[in-house]
Amino acid sequence: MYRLDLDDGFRRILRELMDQFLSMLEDPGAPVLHRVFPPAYSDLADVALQDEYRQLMMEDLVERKRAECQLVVDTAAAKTLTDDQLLAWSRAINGLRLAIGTYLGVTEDEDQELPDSAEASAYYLLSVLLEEAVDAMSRHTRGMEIDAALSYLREHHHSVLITRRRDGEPNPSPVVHGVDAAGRVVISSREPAYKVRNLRADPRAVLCAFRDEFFGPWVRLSGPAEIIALPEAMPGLEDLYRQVAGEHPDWDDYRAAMVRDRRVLIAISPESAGPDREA
Amino acid sequence: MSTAPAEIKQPDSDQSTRADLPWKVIVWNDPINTMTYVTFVFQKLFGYSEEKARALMLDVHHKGKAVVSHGAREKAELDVFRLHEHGLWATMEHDS
Repeated sequence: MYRLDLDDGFRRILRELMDQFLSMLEDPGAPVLHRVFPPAYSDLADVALQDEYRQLMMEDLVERKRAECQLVVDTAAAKTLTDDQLLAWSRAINGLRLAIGTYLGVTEDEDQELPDSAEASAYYLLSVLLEEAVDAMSRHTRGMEIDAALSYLREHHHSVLITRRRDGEPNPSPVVHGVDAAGRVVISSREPAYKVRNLRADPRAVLCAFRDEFFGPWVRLSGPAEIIALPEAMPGLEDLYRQVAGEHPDWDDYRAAMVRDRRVLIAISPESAGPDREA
Repeated sequence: MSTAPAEIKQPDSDQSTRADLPWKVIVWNDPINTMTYVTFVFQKLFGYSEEKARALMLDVHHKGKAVVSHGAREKAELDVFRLHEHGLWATMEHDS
């Protein structure tokens, strides 16, 4: 869900702009809509293929655009929008930007100054709204990916941690990880360990976690790591032990071993998660 | 029913063999679509990571165009359709 924080004046203008777009869409072949409904085949001379595409797809594209515009008109006064609605808004808004941009002759030139007109104002307004929509949806996607990764990391505690050496070379090592109450990925290590020394110099950490059987779904999580030394690290180390192995038979013994070992807690704050799909 | 004799057309053999070749979908640079929007669309439509989508977008921006997917004709047409739906300038051509 997205909260729609627009003032009434803005909402009224948006509704009016979408009504205008709906009028324009009654003539989908108009030159100003060339960028909204472009040809599908690179070979522009291949008229037969272009016509076939237009016959099959054009009507559908026009209908969808109309529906998206109508949705904006119908929900312009709404306090919240669903994922699908905000995506539809984005398509409608960008569609109108394409039409107005074509009309204004917008170019790549960053220093281009558009005339002081109603169309140019509308173009800027729609551009700002689109940027905010994309920003909100991107943050939401990122958050969801991280949540999904953390869910996995709470169930499967074996992974490979990659840190960077001073010369920038990646340094992998197998670890046991947990997830703390703050949503950070936590790993127990020792002060003299290479991974700890690397992270103190360069906090960038990448984790690749998988099931004990190895094959099957896996996750990647990246983010900056903080090194927490004793005594501050003790509660975190105990919590990590509990997550992975349950109650320790002798917590005093455990705590003494942590001190003796010069244990530290590596806490990674998630910045991005995957797996990523390649093209 | 037409009374005029039907015209028999020579089958276009070039057309039928071309349709079997794999296709690639290209996104072209344009001055209206923003970099953040294009990146977002690549992530949304193809499931690319933010890093991969951004790299592809920069290719479009700096090189003028980039290949975003390949496949059979039906798949390429669907990808073009979805890209058009989002306002991106996409075309398909044969993968040489």
